[in-house]
Amino acid sequence: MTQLLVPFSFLGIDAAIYLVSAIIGFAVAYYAFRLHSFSENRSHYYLYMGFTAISIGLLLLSVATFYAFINLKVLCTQECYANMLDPAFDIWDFGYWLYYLASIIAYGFFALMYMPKRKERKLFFILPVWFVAFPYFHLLSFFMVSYVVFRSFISYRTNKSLKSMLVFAAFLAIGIFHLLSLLNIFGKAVYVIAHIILLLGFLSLLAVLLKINKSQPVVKKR
Amino acid sequence: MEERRSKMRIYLDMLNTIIRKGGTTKPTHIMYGANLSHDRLKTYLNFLLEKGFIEEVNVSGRIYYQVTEKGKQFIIEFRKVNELSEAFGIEM
Repeated sequence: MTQLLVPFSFLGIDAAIYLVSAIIGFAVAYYAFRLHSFSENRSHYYLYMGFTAISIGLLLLSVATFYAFINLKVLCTQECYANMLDPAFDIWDFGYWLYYLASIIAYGFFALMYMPKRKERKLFFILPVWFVAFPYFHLLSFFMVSYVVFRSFISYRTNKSLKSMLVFAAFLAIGIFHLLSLLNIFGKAVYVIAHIILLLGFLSLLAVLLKINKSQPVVKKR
Repeated sequence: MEERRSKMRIYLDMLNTIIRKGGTTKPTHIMYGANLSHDRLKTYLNFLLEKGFIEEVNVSGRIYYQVTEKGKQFIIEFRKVNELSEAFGIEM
């Protein structure tokens, strides 16, 4: 029997984390859409598309995880095994696959957002080849997010504002989430830590939105 | 070398210039305040008038421009989205 790599007590909480992250992601996507309608800048469009894609992925994963949690709650009392309830796991797996796909698309958009226009096309050619040759989702995601983390760090170093630091922290948290997800086999606690870090990352984005809405425009007199 | 301003940034500079001058000002003040040529000033003023962000006011037979409520809302919205853009390190 395959041992379940997710702590049973954490099942349901992870679904809630995905849901909260998806809601925050949709809020960022909404602001990015408004931003794009103002500027018609391609980078703003990628920002909007990226957050829309990742939010859809997280929402689907949340539903699938919650479905598995409900089924496992009924059948598991003391010990849980991965093949205990195959139909539920099929749906859970399907949710994961949709999330993987949506995330890779999202990270592609985020990478494009920071990429010089002349290099954009290269990503479209490289990414599918890389995915086939290197099909480990979390590793691929980690590498893609690393580039976005690096660029957001440069942005923070340039602007030195709290908001750009929060954006950098958010992308860093997403990157760490994927790194820890790779190390999930070393213990169930890693799964918990990874998800808490993911939540902190999205809460960091929520803080950015709250700060933007809080700040009042003042026209300074010369 | 300074980067080119986007159209949105120019509209914002024009509206801010009018507000800085007390809410109503002459076209020449807008031209200098927003750092525009005469031709571009006319084009952008027409756009802002069409959108209802500014309105013409006749003061002692001279044309002045005044920011409307819609124009003020535009400034607020622009600043919010601009802050988001800056947070992500993307040029507006």
